[in-house]
Amino acid sequence: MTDLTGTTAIEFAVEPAPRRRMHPVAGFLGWRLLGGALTWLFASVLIFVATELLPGNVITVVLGRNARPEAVAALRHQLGLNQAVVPRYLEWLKGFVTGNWGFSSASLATGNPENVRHIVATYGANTLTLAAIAMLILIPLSLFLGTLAAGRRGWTDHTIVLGSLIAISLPEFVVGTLLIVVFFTLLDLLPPVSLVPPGTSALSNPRILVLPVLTLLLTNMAWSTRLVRSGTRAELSSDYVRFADLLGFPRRRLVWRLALRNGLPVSVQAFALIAQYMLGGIVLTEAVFTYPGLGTALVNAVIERDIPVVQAIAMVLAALYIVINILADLIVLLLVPRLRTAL
Amino acid sequence: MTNSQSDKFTRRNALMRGAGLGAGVLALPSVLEACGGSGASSSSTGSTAAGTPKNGGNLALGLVGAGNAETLSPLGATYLPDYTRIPALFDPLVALADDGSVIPALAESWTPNKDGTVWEIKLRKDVTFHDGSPLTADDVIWTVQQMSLPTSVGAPFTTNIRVKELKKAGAHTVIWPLYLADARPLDDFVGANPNCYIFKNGLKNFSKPIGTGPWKFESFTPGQRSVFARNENYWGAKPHPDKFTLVTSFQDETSLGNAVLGGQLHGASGFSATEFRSLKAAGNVTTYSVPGSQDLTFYMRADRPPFTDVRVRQAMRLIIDRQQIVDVVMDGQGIVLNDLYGKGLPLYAKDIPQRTPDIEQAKSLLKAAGQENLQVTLTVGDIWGGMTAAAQLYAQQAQAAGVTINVKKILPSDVFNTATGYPYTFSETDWPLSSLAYQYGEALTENAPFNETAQASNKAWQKMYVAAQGTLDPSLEQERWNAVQKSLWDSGGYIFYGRPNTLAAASPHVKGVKTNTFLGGVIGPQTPVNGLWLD
Repeated sequence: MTDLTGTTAIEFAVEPAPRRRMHPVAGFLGWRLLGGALTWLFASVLIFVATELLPGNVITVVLGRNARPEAVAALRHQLGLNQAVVPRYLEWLKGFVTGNWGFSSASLATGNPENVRHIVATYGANTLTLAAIAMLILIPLSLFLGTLAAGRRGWTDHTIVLGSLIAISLPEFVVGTLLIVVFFTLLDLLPPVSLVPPGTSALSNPRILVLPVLTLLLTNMAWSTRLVRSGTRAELSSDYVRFADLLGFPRRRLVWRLALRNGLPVSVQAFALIAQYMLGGIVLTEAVFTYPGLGTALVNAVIERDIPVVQAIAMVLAALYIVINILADLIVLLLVPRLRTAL
Repeated sequence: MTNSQSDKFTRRNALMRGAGLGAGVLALPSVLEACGGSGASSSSTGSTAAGTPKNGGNLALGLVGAGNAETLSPLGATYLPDYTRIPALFDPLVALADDGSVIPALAESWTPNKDGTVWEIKLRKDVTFHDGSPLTADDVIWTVQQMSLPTSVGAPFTTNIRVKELKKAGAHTVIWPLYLADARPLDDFVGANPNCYIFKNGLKNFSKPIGTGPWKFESFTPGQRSVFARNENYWGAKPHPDKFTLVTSFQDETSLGNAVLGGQLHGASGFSATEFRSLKAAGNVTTYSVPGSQDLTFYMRADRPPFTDVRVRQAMRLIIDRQQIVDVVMDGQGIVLNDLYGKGLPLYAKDIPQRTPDIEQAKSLLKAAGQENLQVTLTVGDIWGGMTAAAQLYAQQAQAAGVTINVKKILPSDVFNTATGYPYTFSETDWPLSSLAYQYGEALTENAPFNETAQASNKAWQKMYVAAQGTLDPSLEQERWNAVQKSLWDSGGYIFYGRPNTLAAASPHVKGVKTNTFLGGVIGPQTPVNGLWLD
């Protein structure tokens, strides 16, 4: 669905769009939303089946393999596991759509029922905060550095390319640990863990966000910077830019107005991928800094076989992925006039 | 009547997960202090702080958490964070003193009838719940009734109690009838066992629990943190800090250690020997290493070859170098065991000599058994971090006797999985410290759910055990228990090799740290939290 070359956007743009009376962009959006809804529905089946196939169940994992049969039976009844799979799936889907996400089965097993929606909202808010801050810094910085590298050959380009190569080669837990060593152990400037008390926002203590955001920037920006650079450079070597060059357009204008804008579609898709990754895949960064986010909650839930929580987080992430994809396609469409004319 | 003699012995709690996390069960410091116990300092590498206690502050301790499975209910407590919170909010009937003996807590006294089948338990009269209501016999009866429900983790501890016949004899006296005579009916109701803590009559929802403990509930978010306030009306020694916060959002011990080093926590517990060493090296925290509370052991099924021959079992016990395992795998942070559960607990046979390696004797036994080139498979899962390493070291040691041990690694979740073959022929497990009767009832007696050594089929031993447990005469009791243990030491199937220490670290500003020899009382889960103060 997301193609780094940007060709997918064009295919989608030309594919549906039959006898429309509405605005072409609105038509495009309508079709994409419909496709997104079907994709989400398909994802719900996959999520349900996958969680059904997880070996073990919450009570044996939480209470030990020798949980008494009576306790297992009682919890199975409580969780509705005695029903057939299809009605259970339909009931679960209906519950999810209507906002009734049920209770965490791990918490039920230990006699302390926790609402799944509350769990997802709490951890989700923390992840959104971290991801939003990181993206707000990452996008302009990547655009700036990528375009700078594309426009200036020589040491600027080499420094940026080499720097990004090093950063891209290091996994998050290494970068995070190195940052802790530098900013906590050596300089004693920033806290080594990012604790967020329940009921408070991570923004209430911005210092705890510095190192996780820096980790995310260092590990993700390298990739997006390189994509911006290559996209812009490809445009710089295209005929229309050369022609503009021959006509005497200033170099700066060539790079920042023409090449960057037309090279952006690839970068937008890259930013979309990074945003998706940050929402669901920053488990390692969260783990290194003990940051209570959605990735951490998902891993915990899988370990505990807390199926309702796993399913809810997976469904929310699937929905977010679809929305981000649609938004990215829309942005590309708005950025590149020739795509709109093809609708 | 559903209970029978055999039911008496089907006691098993689900403490393994908590113990598996690395630190085991919990001391009850508040009760120890209230009862005059001093919480003797043990092999702590940090100094026991002295000085005049100061009130005030918010004591913040940390543990590796257990996510949404964390609870405030004694009936569902299975993880280490639960084991820390429950003794803060609730109190038990009895507590373990520093010498391992059982001393009064909420129960003031307990007196048997002639044959030890009915006990009269008198409660303290000066205890009130957090809502101001007094503790009465009804609360204890309600608690035991709830414990006995099949969905309760505490159910295994009530199988010898005639729960339906529990009754009160006055506001503060409980009549406690048993199926089988028991000289120590409250041994599992000690502070070390959070599944047996007393809560208010009628309490079913533990989201805002009402207990009698030294701390009152303020807030709780599973897998993140809980905040408790000092109980100003506590019947025992009151805590010094105004608040106690337990942070459990940690997923690994490295970030837990960092939080202590960075000053975000006052202290934390449950470190591995490696992390402990780096915390010691950091220098700006005080480290504590005290005997822990889970006994690690290999086990051999006596009903399956080659272990049907007692000489093979004896040889396997002579091959192992327990001290080397403690030195290498636990980095010296542990104590050597002697093939018996519960070293230091009441009734433990301390006079049985420590078994040491004797390769020649082992070879001779194997030769006599016709097993000179014995090959066995040892099935191991890391429910404690060093179990596989211990098994591999044991396999190396066995080579000297010509025995080949093939270590087969399995998932930790399969260690007790009957579907994958538990109890295995030759494997490794752990047992949390509670009482000898607890482990024997769970593992060695007829119908024991954890029949890991097939001791259940040894009828002569079963008789010996039942007689020992029902011995009310103190002059005979230890002698009979010694005989029971000597028999296990001679021919049993367990190879108890070591007990890893509980490893902890705290800011030097934390004062009043005491340790408990048996239960690893130290910062974190075993902290005498209400004995601590902030400098």
